[in-house]
Amino acid sequence: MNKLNINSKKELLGYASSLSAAFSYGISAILAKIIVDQITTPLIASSFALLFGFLILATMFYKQLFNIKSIDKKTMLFIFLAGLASCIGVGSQYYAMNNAPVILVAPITGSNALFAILFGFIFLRKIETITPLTIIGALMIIIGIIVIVLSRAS
Amino acid sequence: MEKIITGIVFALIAAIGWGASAVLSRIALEKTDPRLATIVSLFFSSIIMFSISLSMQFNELEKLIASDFLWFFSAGLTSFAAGRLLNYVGIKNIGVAKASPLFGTSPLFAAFLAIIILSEKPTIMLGVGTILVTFGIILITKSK
Repeated sequence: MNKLNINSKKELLGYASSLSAAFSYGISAILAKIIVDQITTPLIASSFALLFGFLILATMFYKQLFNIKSIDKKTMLFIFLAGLASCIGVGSQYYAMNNAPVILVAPITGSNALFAILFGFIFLRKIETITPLTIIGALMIIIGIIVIVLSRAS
Repeated sequence: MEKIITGIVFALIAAIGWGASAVLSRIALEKTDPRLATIVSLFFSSIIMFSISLSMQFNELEKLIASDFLWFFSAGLTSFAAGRLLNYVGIKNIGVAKASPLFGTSPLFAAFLAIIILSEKPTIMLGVGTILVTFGIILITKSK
């Protein structure tokens, strides 16, 4: 644990959650490919997948819904914009999958980390510190992903 | 070839959209529980996507059969219920700069799953890429 510089349970939870999210999105990329190849259009698929995602979480954490009034307008706006940006991401992913093989699409969509770091560097300076080691680590991940793409596309 | 380029362009748009979404959600998560933020976010996203899809592809709905919804449910479970919630928990606890690259490893998982599920062939370079990604993850977890 010390070797990985995990100082707290909070950090451990963060790392585990992020990697689990990656695994989960990896599964969804495969499902997306099958769905748009065999079932329906990217738009319809995205819509129903989002609806089911919402229903699953709203059912699991329904008690959280009682706290909805505690969210101020500004925070609500950011949640809305985050949802909108993610919508664009999801819709585009489905369209991408419909036009190109998963080995090309998945790594490009996975490069969102670079954009997140760039946007974070611009807009989150007050609440987040971006270290050189983080950037090097992110670049290694991106390069690793590109290596995988190029080798599998050739 | 044109079709592949279109796919790549949309993949790039997806990456930018998710990058922006991570930063916007990071700001929102300063004051909100990730579970509630994910539910509200998915609510807004559902309305947006249904509005677009119903206005553009309403007749596609007639072609759906009951078993298709099992696929949608699976996609919703992995991509949104689990994926987005876990991503938000990660962003809240370690920040965008660390969480996003870790989330960015999803293509690696997709590649391995494609080998298992879609019978795509593994290569030596996949192993090299995996090693690079692994070292990237270690560096990120080591950064203070």
